[in-house]
Amino acid sequence: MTRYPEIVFKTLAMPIVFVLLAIGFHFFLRGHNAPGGGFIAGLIVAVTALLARMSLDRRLLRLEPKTLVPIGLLIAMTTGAFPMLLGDAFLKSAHGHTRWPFVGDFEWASAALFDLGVFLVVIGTTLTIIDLLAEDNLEEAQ
Amino acid sequence: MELLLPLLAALLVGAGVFMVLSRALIRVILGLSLISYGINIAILLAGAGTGLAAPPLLDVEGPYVDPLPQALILTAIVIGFGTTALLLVLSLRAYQATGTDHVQEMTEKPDPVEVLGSYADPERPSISPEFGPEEKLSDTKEPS
Amino acid sequence: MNLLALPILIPLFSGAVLLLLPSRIWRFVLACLAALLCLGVSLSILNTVLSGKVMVLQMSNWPAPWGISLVADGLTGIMLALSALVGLLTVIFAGSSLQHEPRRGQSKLVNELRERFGFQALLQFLLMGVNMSFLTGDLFNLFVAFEVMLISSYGLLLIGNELPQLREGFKYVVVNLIASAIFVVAAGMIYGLIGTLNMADIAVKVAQHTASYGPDARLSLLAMMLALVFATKAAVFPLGFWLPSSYPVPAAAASAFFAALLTKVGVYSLIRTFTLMFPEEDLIKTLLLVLAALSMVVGALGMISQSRWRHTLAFANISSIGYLLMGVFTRQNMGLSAALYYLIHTVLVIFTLFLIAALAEKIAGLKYTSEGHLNTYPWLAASYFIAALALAGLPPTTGFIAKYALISASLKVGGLLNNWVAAAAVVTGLLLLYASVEIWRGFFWGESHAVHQVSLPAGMKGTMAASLGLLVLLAIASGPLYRLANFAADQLSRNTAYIAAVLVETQAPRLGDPPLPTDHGVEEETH
Repeated sequence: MTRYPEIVFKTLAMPIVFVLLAIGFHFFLRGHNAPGGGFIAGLIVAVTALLARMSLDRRLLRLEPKTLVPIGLLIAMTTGAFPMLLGDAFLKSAHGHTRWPFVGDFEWASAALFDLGVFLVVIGTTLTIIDLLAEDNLEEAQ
Repeated sequence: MELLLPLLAALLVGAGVFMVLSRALIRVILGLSLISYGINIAILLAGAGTGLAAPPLLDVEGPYVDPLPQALILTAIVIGFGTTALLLVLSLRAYQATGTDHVQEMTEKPDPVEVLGSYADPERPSISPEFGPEEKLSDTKEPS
Repeated sequence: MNLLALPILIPLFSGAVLLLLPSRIWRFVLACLAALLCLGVSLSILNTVLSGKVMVLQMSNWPAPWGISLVADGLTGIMLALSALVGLLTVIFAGSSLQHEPRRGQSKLVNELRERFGFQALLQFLLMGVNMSFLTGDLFNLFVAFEVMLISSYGLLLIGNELPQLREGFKYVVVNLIASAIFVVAAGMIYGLIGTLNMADIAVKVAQHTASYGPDARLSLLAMMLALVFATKAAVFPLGFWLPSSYPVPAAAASAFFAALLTKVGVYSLIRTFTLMFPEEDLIKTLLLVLAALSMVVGALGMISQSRWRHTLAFANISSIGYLLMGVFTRQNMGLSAALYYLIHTVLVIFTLFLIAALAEKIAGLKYTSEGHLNTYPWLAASYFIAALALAGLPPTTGFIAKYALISASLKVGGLLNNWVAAAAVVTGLLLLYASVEIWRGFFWGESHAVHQVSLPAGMKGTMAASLGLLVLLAIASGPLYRLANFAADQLSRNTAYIAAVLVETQAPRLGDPPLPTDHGVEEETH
């Protein structure tokens, strides 16, 4: 369990993980009209999960990352196909404004659900790839 | 900038092609990444020429930079990310299976008996890479 | 409701669910259901487009040059129906063959691992990519569809982790990545020069530009880049070197699907490029015609040089691509309709032959040099006999009709080049016959040395029989099918209906459009 004994790294990792998660969340939300969105947020969160795994020796999620991929795909696809049930075009996005307490004016869009799917797929894929590469390195080392 | 970016794109693609032509898998992968970077810059340049006065479909004052090439690049980057990862895993597996990341050593281990019996040109077995004797195929590696 | 998104959505949905399902039986059932549904939708689309209507779906309701359009005309309808049909047969074949050993003397383990690691799901994603390439009316979306298709095909090629798979898979991935890189830069430059990526819009603007300024070398360059990319995907002779070594390595079902459809996607894109977007590039068309003749001959010669089932058939595939392109670039409506008929024929022939190869590999391993299986497996011999006749193009089969149409179209157009190409086609027919006889002589003819009969799974035999039955049906229904091909070719060569259908809603509100052509350089040159 002491593969990364660096004390600074281990101490700083926890706050960094939380800050990164917040940044990921922020990027996810601002993605509709500004740079950001599901892909970038997914990468940030995947890196966070990797950091957590390296420093704290624990996974952020109990879920196998591989299963996130089909779930994300299904979410994205359902969002895209839903307008077809209402007689609209494939991928048609609904959007509007609501006022939330503390937040103020908030522009919502159904495309964000699609982005959520992308987000999950990116996390799942990235972590799976890292798993595949890292496990083999472990074997090599032993 | 007008001259610098095309030169950069050309340099990246040139270096990439040079590396793709080498025989080590990892250099091929790096070369492919370089090529895709060079191409992204080329697309960026191709889009820069089409400065429109005002965006279509909106009542917004121009001038504006066309966002579409950037979207193209983003898509290309995402796809490149996936394929590079795939290639990395693939080359790692190939390295584990063969103990080398050199293309030449990977392909040319034909069984001499097999070769004489099965090639159109027994003197040059390399023209059609052989599977090797069939028995070897049975003990395949499982993904660990 | 507009059905056009469904051939993309159904495989995507079922592919995602297949990744989650734990049981093999349920995976198989779901994959079959999805493929059946896809077939139904594709046939219904084909039925609609046969009335002469071009179906269009503007995704997300963005008007045409700005959004992504899905378009279906006659050619798309035919291709969708073919892909759904082959997809269904492949799913059933894979369901049956993945429970058994891949070939004689191998353990079942490889195939079971393939199944467990998502073979069926990858097959669905592959179908999605293939259908999307047929449906899309947007050049960049075509690139994305190619990538979806290719990434799934990488998966299918590599799944199982056998050493030859790793080795050939690496080459396959690298070649396709480089082709994709050229594709994406071509798409970017087309956008930079022409200002649009919608294929119909490109067609309009290129035609306007050529009409007012004459031929433009830069447009030719772009067309050349696209031709290079699609010819690589279609495995046209000098660019098809990756095919013969990579198609034989994956599981049998994947090989069969690849050979039947993936190269045809390249051919489809070539047809679209040179009938819709760049119909005036005569030099490139001539070049491709020459390459088509070379592919035919080299493919047939390659077949003769091989001694393993799937390697031989991979070369047969290259040869058939040559025939297809010969029809496409004969520059006459007649040639195109012959090519489309040949396309329907060749997809089924190659598919059937690969299924026969899979059965034969189970009997006697990779090579066909072990003699005397005629007595032990007479039905397999009979099936091979019919399929080989169709491949070589002998009279009672569709192969004869298709090749006769191709060669007569080429001769009617006339000219030195076309006559030479027709001659090459005839010679290739003979070579193909020789190669088929070689397999017959090696595998079926002679004294039987077989000690015991290998029991072959019923699902595999059934799928092969179904595919062969379709081939026979094709010969019986030649008349209607030829009319179908004629109709699609006619629609392609006029292409006004396609452009009108895609751009219909957006003729009016083009306020942001710069004067055509968009690039400043064009106007400066001509003034």
